[in-house]
Amino acid sequence: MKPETINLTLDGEEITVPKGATLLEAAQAAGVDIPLICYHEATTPNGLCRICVVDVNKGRVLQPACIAECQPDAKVETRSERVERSRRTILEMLNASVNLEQAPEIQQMMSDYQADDQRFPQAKRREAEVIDDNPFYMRDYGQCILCWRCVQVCAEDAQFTFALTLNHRGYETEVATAFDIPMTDSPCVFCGQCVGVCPTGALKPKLEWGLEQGWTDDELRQRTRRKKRGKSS
Amino acid sequence: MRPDEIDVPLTFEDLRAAGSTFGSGAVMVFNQSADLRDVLKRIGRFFQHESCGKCFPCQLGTQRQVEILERLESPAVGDSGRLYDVGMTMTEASLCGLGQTAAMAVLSAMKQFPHLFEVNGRRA
Repeated sequence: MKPETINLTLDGEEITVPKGATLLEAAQAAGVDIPLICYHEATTPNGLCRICVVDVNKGRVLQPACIAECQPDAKVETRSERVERSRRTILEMLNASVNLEQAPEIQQMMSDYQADDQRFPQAKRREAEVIDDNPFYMRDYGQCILCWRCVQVCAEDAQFTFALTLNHRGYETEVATAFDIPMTDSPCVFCGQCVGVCPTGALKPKLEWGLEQGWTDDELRQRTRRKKRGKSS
Repeated sequence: MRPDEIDVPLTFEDLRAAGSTFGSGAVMVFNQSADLRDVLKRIGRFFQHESCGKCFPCQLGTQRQVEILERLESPAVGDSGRLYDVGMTMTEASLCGLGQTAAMAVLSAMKQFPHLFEVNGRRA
């Protein structure tokens, strides 16, 4: 039996996709570029960053391509004026809040969408002290864009460890351990999956961090290893 | 809404057609002495406080919006364009109804009372 398919229009082109395909999958199959920030193939898409929004039938609101399914005969526009405004403004607001120096993909998007890196003067930035509470990785939440990937891989998307959660809400939201306890007191097993999916350098292996900071071999050895247990010789 | 526009049945459809929104059904009346900039500021603070922080447009937009509203008496150059883009982005791209309506008052004030966003008769 042939799989069911759906016909729709994407940027003026008629396309056919399998039933149940997301707008993102349809666009990728058609070779149309959709920018992505929070999306990661290993995590459940939540439609958080809204950078992938597209215009479907000129609806009241734009649809996140990563989760919205293709509908029959839909007219989808991926670069309409309102799509571009939303994408550009999200990038400008993000850039005014977070240190994106180590997020090359987002910087590339800023230039693709002609986002002004000075658009929001006097904006309150989300700054944070770098957290160094374990021998394996560093956490700089001043670079965190709240894509949730680390929280997701720590939970049901991979590790089922649940060491990470979200504290506060709105603009003050931050990724943290429950009650802000040190990572070494949390359920964290230091699997490193959170570091692997972080798109901005907010989470970084301590060795890499130390090398960037110019630590000596001795410093690297001392600070990236756990103290010996039991008798000290 | 201006005084000559308030003769509208209190329904979702009629209010939408009149360019307003029903919300929870509350009606607030302000006389000519009310400070509408202050009203907008309070509305902005409310949405900034209520945003859950999940989706980027509302998490960032409610913060950027209140920052601009707080300085409405002496706006920075380009503030009305900024406010409009933030408002439209929240309205069109937010995940839930809170973000989608967080700029409703501001956007309608920009249309109905443009002088609130002007400095010395010029658009900020």
